[in-house]
Amino acid sequence: MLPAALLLADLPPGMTQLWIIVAYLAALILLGLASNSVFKGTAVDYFVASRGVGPVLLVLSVFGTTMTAFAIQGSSGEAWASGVGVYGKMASWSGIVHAACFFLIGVRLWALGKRYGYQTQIQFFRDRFESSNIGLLLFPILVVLQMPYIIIGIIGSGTMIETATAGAFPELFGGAGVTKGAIPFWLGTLLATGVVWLYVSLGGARATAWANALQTVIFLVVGVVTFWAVAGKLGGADSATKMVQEYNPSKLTRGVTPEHQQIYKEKLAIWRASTQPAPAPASASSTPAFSASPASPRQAALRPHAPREMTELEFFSYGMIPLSVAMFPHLFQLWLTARSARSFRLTVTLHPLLVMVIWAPCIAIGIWATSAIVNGQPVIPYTPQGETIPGQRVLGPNAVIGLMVRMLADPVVGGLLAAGVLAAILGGMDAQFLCLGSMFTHDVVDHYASGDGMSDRQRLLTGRIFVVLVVLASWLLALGLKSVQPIFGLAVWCFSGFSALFPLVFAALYWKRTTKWGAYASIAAGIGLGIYYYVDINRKTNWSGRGEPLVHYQLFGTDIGVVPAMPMVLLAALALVVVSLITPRPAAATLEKFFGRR
Amino acid sequence: MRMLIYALIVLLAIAHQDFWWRSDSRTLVLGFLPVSLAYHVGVSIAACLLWGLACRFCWPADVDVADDDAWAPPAGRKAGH
Repeated sequence: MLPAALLLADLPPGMTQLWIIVAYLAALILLGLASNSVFKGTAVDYFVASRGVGPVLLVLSVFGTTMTAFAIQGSSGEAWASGVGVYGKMASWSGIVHAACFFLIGVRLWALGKRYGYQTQIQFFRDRFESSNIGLLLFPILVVLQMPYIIIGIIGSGTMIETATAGAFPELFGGAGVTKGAIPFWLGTLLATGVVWLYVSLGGARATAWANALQTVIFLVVGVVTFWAVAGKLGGADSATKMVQEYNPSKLTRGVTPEHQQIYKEKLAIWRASTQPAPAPASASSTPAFSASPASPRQAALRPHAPREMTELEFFSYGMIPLSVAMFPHLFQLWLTARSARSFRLTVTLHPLLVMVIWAPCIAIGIWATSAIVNGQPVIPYTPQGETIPGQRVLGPNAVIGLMVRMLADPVVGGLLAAGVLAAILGGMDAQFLCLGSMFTHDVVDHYASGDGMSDRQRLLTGRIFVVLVVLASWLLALGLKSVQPIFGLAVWCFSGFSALFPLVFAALYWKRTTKWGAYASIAAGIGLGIYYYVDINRKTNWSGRGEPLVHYQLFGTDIGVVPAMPMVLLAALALVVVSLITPRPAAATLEKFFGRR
Repeated sequence: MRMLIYALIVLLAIAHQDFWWRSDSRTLVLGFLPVSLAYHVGVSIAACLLWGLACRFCWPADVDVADDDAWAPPAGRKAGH
């Protein structure tokens, strides 16, 4: 191990990281081959691992699937852009709400899936609402909402490979600035998605669960190691945070104080002065109203971030986003792989803790990145407001953690860290590819083309073909959408759509009075409102840049901003209740089937 | 016990809104953790403990499905729904 590490350390820049990434991807392929050796050759084994996954594998695979590029790159990038509040509005909310969804929704759906043989959400909803055609409405919605989530992962993998392998091929690949000579985005994403497709095709749900378990272990360990490596390079965690206190204190809070504004003005003036040619002596009247201390080279190099307020209502409204896990098709598919209901206990209990272990270090690294200086240069050569060093390429928030890893760690550690981040990203994509293949097979081809009469072999073949098509379409879309929006913004829109379907699944399981028409009304109202918000917000920015996922209302003369999920969930719930109460009850046989004596 | 655990989970969701130090950038826990981040790490740990208790004391009685009660493919069909 040590000689190998020494050999790797002697390679040209970027090449060490590349070989470690290649080794990691090769390990995934080997895992796919191993799972293929125990593959039973049936559709049930391919899609839900013959419902035989135990508690430890379940908690690792569910967590690995939940934590995607969004958890690693989105969280650190967003913390860099908007500060410490990101942990509270996403991670600690997720700890509470995700576990609630697993406990209240996942366990019960697993039981119904095992009792009645469901392999997709739509199969359950068709039976529960006595409506064969509810799939016609739900299927396109689930696919359209799932695709951005997949694209988030693909963009994340390409960005990570690009930043980690910079300098590996200076003659073969051009590029500029921090990505000169790197594996280009298109090739990195092709490698990542190709490997995922290969092991999913080889072993189906079992390969996915095994790969996710391995990936979860890798990225949890690597996340903590990254934190300490980065902290060490910045002179310790204390020193790194104190730098933020000095230059960007608003990143440590949700609120912005006059003191934060004053510090921003002072630091901005010093940075601006450092980027200008020496001015002629100025009159006293043109001097700034505040007193700036003499600029050291360190101060001059740092461009401060403009303080950004996070309102309490915005912070609270983010609690609606984690409701989305109740309707993620790929999580539903993973839940179905459980051996028993009791297998869920470990998942429900440990999930909040695992979320904390991966998010807290990433948030800290993102905050430190705002003020980190190494060898007299800022580690992140740009801010949300633009470049710090003239001529540097602005990569955006997604690249922040990659740049921190690459510029703060040695090549071997840097390569391991890049592989760990990739593990987090790919751990989500595999289940998403598999579940879309399953949905196309069961909900469209089998149900509509052959009246649920396909043979097992036909189902297996169809599923595998659709997985290929989904992978290809996702990769092409990722190439096209790479620069459209940052990961975070795209994810929030996608999660909001899934959250809007939460009232549907919750009522289907717990409210006997829910009717078919109530379900249709809920879907139409929640998703319809989401489409309206998405179009309206992006129209205001001419469909360019980031469509900020916040809906603004005037309340008593005050402008308030909430995530779209909040009004979407409330309207979907209201529509479901009102329409269910004015339409005929479901048949007694249906209620007996789904509620028994409850 | 069941109601107590659910009440504590609701209380945790309310306590999540830590507005009392929303502008405190000076207090650091352990010398490096901003106080709000440290608090929310605590919220995550509390969620883990409370959901562990929920699994112990609030577990639904009707979700265990025996293999005998599980769906089996009809004659002529090998597997799947």
